[in-house]
Amino acid sequence: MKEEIFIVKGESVHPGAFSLDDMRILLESGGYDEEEKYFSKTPVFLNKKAKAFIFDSSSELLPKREARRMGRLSQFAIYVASSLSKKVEIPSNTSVVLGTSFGPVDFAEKVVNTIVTRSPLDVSPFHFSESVANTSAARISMKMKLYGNQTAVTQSTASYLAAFIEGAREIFRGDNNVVIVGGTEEITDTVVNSLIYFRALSSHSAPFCRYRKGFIPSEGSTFLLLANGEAIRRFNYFPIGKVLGWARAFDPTSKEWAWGENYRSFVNCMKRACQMAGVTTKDIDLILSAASGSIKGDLLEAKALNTFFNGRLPTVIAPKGIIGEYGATDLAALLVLLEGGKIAKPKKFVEEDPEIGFSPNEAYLENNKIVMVNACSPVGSFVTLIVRRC
Amino acid sequence: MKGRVAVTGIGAVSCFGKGVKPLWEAVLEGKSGIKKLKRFFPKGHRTDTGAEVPLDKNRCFLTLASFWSVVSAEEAFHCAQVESKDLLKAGVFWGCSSGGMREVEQVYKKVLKSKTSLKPFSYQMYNSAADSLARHFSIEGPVVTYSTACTSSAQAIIEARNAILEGEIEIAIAGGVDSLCELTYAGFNSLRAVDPDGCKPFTGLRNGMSLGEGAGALVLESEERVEIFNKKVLAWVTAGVSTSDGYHVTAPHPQGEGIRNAISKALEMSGRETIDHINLHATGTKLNDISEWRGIYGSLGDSAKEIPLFAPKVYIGHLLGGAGGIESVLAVKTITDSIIPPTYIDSVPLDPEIEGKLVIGEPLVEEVESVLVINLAFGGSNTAIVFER
Repeated sequence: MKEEIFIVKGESVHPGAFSLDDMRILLESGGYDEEEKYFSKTPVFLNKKAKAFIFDSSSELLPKREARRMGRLSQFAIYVASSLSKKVEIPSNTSVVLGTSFGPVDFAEKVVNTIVTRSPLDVSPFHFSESVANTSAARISMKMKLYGNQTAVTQSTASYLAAFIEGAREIFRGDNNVVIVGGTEEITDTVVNSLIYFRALSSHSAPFCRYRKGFIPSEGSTFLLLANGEAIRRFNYFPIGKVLGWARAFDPTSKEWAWGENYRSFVNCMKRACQMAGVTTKDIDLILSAASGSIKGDLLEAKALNTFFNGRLPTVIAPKGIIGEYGATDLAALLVLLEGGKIAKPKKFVEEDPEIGFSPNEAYLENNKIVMVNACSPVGSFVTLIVRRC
Repeated sequence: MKGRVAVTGIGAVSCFGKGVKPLWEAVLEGKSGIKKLKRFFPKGHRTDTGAEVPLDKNRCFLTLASFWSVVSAEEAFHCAQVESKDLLKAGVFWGCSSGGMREVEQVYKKVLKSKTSLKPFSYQMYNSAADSLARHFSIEGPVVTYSTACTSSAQAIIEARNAILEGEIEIAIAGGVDSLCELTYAGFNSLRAVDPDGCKPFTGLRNGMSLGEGAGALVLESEERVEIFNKKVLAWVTAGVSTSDGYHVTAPHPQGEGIRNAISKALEMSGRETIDHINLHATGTKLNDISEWRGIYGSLGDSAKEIPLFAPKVYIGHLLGGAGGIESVLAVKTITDSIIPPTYIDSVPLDPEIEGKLVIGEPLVEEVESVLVINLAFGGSNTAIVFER
């Protein structure tokens, strides 16, 4: 590694968890107490077979005057970035690398809807300018006066971990010493409708469970601050994790919206990440899996894990069974682990799937222990990240 | 981080059809592809001109963006003489701003009447073109889509170069794509940013951009691989930098601070004090062109006034997420053929505040050792890439 990369701090907002502290309580509990409270009641797209974690319309993350100038995607991002800036100093050369699966789909829909139902002449310039994928990253840069690189990465559910790696690479190369990484997502009618069409959703998220039927999408945002050793010293940061290695791969047998069969490509991804980190399978203490409750996706990841770890599988956790898929929930769980929190076994898990051969468990990460974080997106992208807790 | 990164193949799809050859011939002849739109018929829009790609009956992909991505990559791989076995560990670094939005719009109209399936909504995902490309060529390396509006594909080229220098991969296909869609067409019109008569970048007559569509692809390979396989190098990518204005969602920084920063860092990265030629972003909007020139001047000083400039959007329109890709293809051609295309054939009244030297009239025939490709985007994203002989 040319430059050492540390995770300094992070923040998060998701339905029912307005800060990382809330998120920790939620993840330690194994699921929402009043789960229905966080399920949208919009009858258009939700039914008994599919649910979504969506912010209650009364949730005000930003002052009304500020909020009305941007879409919800940016509101989540600005709320989290502002909270983060209250915890740590963020210098002006900082880069912002953001992952999003669907982007500002709400405003894109508004523009298309205006064109179709009214007239192209009635399209609002505001709606259009907010319909660009990097708007949230741009708004963070504008709000915090940041002049480093500003990027949006989109690889479906792997977007957030992919964005983390883009930011880490920037520090690794020595191009910058502080980077904000993470992701943001809004879940709209169209998103849920299309996910229902693909039979991806369920009313119960139970990753790796024999009776899993799909996942629950969640909107929200999570951001982390990465820094190199020099920035740690200069800004008196206290790192919570050290990035050891990463890798990215693709499964060409995947479809537009369906996992493929090529788990060996995922195995190669984990292998290359371990090589970069200078660790072996024996050194991995915990696996933060990508499993969301999807029938094919969970099985693909399980096959890859069983092959790569070859009978020596460490504890596997599946936080998406608690807080849902999208909105960088994987990074929120990583932050909770690095801050000493525990991730519970999802409440909805019933029975081990014999084809999978293991169950997710409750776990926390001790100091100096190593976690492997995986992303396994339905469009074929795999990402593996290896982090040691400081 | 070791060695250098070579461009060994290029491919394009533009308003002049499939391939780099028709594109290059057209720009050298000063032939514009900006016309009254036919295939993409913008009924009810404020304007009706743009640079559309001719219809291809052999289209075999779900969206135009995916199809053009594969077509341009195929040409680039052929040009680079890359064998399919080498592609297994290759990477795909692709830029895209609107993905399959055009197809989604067509479906959306039917959805409102409840007469269609929702499957095409997955095509809209920004990553659909890059994924299609990876599937088509059975690529198992990193596949990443960058969506930073008009710098998307330039960002993708920068990150592909970085991934090769970091040793993650040895070969990458890098570039980007976008197809005309009503969202962007109506959107830019709502901002009054489209010139109904075709864009006139850097002139005093400029009154907005012209939208275009298509794809541009580069095959990038490590220096080590080029040496081992004795590959023909079209150009070296010696620098790639992106910065943020941190200023406004749609307007560029008035003094071009962000792009100045990107150019200065790119020149420093490539170890150069100046550059032989600049391939401009030059959309033709009042704010963009002046901001871009101020950024160039701010970085290069008076020497900027003597550098021959080319504004490719005069011929191919603004490809948005695909702009940096196809413009990089043209930059590489400038190096390999030692010709800088003219931006205008006839004399035009230049903006008096822009003191740059646009090539006008005949193409400028001279040895081009280095080219700077500049792109600016919504959200204040700026990129600068240096290609060298």
